[in-house]
Amino acid sequence: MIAEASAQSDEQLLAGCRRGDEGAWEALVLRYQRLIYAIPRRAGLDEDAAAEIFQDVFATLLESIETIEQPSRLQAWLVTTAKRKTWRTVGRAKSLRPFASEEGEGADEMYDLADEGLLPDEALTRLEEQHLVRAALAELGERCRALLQMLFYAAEPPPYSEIAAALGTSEGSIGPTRARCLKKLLDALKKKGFS
Amino acid sequence: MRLTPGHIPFTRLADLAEGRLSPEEAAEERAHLADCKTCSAQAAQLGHLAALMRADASEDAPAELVASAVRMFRARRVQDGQPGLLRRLVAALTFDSSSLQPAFGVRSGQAAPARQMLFSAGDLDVDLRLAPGGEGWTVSGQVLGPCKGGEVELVGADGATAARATLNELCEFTLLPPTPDGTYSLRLRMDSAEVEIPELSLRA
Repeated sequence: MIAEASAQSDEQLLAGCRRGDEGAWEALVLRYQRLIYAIPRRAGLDEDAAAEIFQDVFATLLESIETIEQPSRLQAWLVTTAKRKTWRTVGRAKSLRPFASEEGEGADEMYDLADEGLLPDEALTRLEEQHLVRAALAELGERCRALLQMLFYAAEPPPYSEIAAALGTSEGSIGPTRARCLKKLLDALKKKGFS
Repeated sequence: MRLTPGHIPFTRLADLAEGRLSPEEAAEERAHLADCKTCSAQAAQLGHLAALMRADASEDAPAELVASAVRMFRARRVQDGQPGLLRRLVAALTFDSSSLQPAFGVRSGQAAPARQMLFSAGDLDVDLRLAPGGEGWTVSGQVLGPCKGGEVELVGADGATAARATLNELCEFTLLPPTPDGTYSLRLRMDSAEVEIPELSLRA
């Protein structure tokens, strides 16, 4: 995983971007690149379509950089933007006839309710939670990060003997280390508002 | 069989979440969880966390895609006609005469020629000449592209303005007074945009 580079909050990075600080923009892109890419991919779009949406979302962010009203809600803004662009892409591909809502919103804003199944809110919440867990993981030391990554992110977690060899520790220490790292992760998540 | 009543140790809950317990052991712990709110809350939390991590099938976006998004910042545009919004651009170096081979026949003792640098920011180019002199460096230049006039200043690391100038009708300028050696940022303020050259090193 591309490691999270900046310890600054979204608000601080946004303020940096508004001051013309290129490093702040780079930090924002690195922070959210995986989450933004995951959204169209989760909706079943291929790499090319996902790449277009990715570019579109960040270009839109850049255009709106001065006017984003709630900097503390940047993540929500990004997710919503990515979701809508994904819907729009899928809607065009399926040539669905959109219908206008009762309130008279623009016709291209609403889609057949059956399409909700493509990217339901639960799926998006899950993606955001996973983003949060990865961010918290990046805050733990290298040892915890490596251990938890091997235990929980690998398709086939290796046996403790292999993990011990990879980390250069004894097999017997894996269990307690893992418990300590999980506790640290839960604490870090609590600080980020994860329930 | 649990010999002593009480809470399930965290390590054991971690084993459960990790799936390291045998079906019998797992069943035994789950039986206790049914009776204990504290343990079941902790187990649920760990279980949810483990499930999230296990199900994380995301990948980093391709490196070139990420790099391309990062590069957007330099070339950014704000919608035309929006009042009060200014383009703020950071200029990139596109030419530096000091990176060329020294000219043949330049003997020591001759005055060093002015260093010429060219910066680009969106559709603007800034042509700079850095001339060393007895009193310090004289930075002069011209803004090329959509420029109707403006102000320019050289700001020191301490944030104080070391030299300033107003652009003439050809958008040329000479920053005064001459400035001592150091690292400065050059800031151009025009109607349409603000351009910054963040690290201008004035040194022989």
